[in-house]
Amino acid sequence: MTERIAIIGVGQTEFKSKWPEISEVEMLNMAAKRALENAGMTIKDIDAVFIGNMELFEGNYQVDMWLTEGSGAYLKSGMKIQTGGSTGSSICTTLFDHAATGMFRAVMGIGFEKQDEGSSDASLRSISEDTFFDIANGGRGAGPSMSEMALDLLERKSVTEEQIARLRVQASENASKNPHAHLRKKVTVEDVMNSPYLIPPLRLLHMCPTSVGACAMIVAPESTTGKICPNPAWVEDWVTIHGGIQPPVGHLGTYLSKSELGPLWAYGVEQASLKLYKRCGIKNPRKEIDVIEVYNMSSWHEAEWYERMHICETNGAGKLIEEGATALDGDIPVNPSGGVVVTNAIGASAMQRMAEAAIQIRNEGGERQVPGVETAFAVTAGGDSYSAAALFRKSLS
Amino acid sequence: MEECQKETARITDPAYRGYAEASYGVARKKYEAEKKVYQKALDQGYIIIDSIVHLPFKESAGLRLSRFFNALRDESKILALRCPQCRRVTFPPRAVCGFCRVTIGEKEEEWFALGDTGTVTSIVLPTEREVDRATGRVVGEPNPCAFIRLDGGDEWTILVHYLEFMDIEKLKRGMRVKAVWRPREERRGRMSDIEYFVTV
Repeated sequence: MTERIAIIGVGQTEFKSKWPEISEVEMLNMAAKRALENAGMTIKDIDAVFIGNMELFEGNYQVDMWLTEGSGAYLKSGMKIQTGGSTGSSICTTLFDHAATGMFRAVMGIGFEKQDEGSSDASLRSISEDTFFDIANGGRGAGPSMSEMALDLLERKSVTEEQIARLRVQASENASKNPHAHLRKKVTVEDVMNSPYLIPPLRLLHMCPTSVGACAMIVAPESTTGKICPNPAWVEDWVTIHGGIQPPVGHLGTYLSKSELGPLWAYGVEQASLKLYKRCGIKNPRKEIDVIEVYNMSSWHEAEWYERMHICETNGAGKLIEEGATALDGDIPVNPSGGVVVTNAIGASAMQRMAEAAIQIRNEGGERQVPGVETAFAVTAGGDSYSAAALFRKSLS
Repeated sequence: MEECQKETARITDPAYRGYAEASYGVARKKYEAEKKVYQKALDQGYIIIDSIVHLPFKESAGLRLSRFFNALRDESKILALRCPQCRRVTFPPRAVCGFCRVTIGEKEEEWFALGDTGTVTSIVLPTEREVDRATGRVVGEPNPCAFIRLDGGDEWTILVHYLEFMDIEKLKRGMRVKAVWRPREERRGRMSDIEYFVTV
């Protein structure tokens, strides 16, 4: 790294399930303008723009062409990025990489998804899976792997169904304090336990929603940050790991709970976390990190990630939940924003993890702010198996 | 293999009963609610265009998968590759062992046939929650679908395929299944040359 870098602006739209009143380009622009306003900049101060989403979910390929006016990319450097669920965090690490070269005064990234315009199910089932082997439509996508992972958690007595329900309740409580969350209604343990099964033991309320919205972020090297930003979220280090080995059926290989890689995407999350801890000299993440934002596509995943992020021991997720350690007022708050399980506009989701971590460092979290955050950690995952992680600090030594 | 054959979890809990109907109901309700939101926006003067895309593709199976599908069609054999370096099985046959990044499938001794029997590791119940936006119908096959660990391989040799249509009560992880092959004249060199798997 040649330059120290920081997140100096974050902008988010509202998130909802249907937003027929605005177009994709208007939505993108809304997030970009809010990020520029938050950073106290104009688009003239930005040298490169990066955007990303799951293009075919909305039926518009080459979004970088159609959305230029909204993103402000005209005559600037940049690219479009798509890595599945972790698209947003891949945009972030691309921003970090570019800013760290010192060749740009500031760079902006926008992750977005307008899932109300298309059918994510249809796209997943038709053109994003292996043509030759995924003949059984019902077996495609993330569902079966999630069910298997959940059964595995139950089987090894790491968590109970009630503890998972409590995690979902915790997410809804945090979401009610976050104006940018999608599902902001408070739910009870009974609501969760009585919601219909998707694939047992995975229930509807365990699962993330399909959301519409956008998130934008501005990253700059120290030379720029020093001049304009009194309150930067320094990015100490970041890493991306591809945690999915290919056989047997595309990424289905990582579905196998009992294999050496563990359940879906878990290997990537664990390896990314450990690599970053090592490089940043973090020996006890639960003590040394003040707040964590993690890509919890379901409440079951959140429990699995606790173990994989090493904030508890293997099979210790349930105990951590019982202690309330990851609640907003716990000793290691996880997802004060509510996380993906309450807001999932796919291209934005993973960026929101890093953006929300930056918000916590910058003390801009409002009702969802954790007091006195000095160090924040974000880790993400997705079906393409890219897991990106980053560590943020209030000040760099 | 051993671990998988033991009965790890049953989905025959009475609580699971009727979940299919409930999920179906959720899908319908979501669809109806969605229609209302759009109607309101249309009434307010917003323009929303229906767009249905039909995309024809041609995908080349390549050297290894062509051999695989030919053997499937002509010999009722499910071929796999064993990496000469790490000895792991790559299934379906691919160009490179994902673990040690060694080219595979070029030497005859790396090819072998898996059994057409296996053990179910995960099950997807016959509920399809997606509603076709054009017709309003709930889409999907009635058969349950399973991850099947084929005999003769290792932990990686998982095939995703249909099971015979059966009572939800009888489905469980760890159950043993066997392929039902289509008659020779109906085979096309596709995974669907196996119609589905039945319990044994």
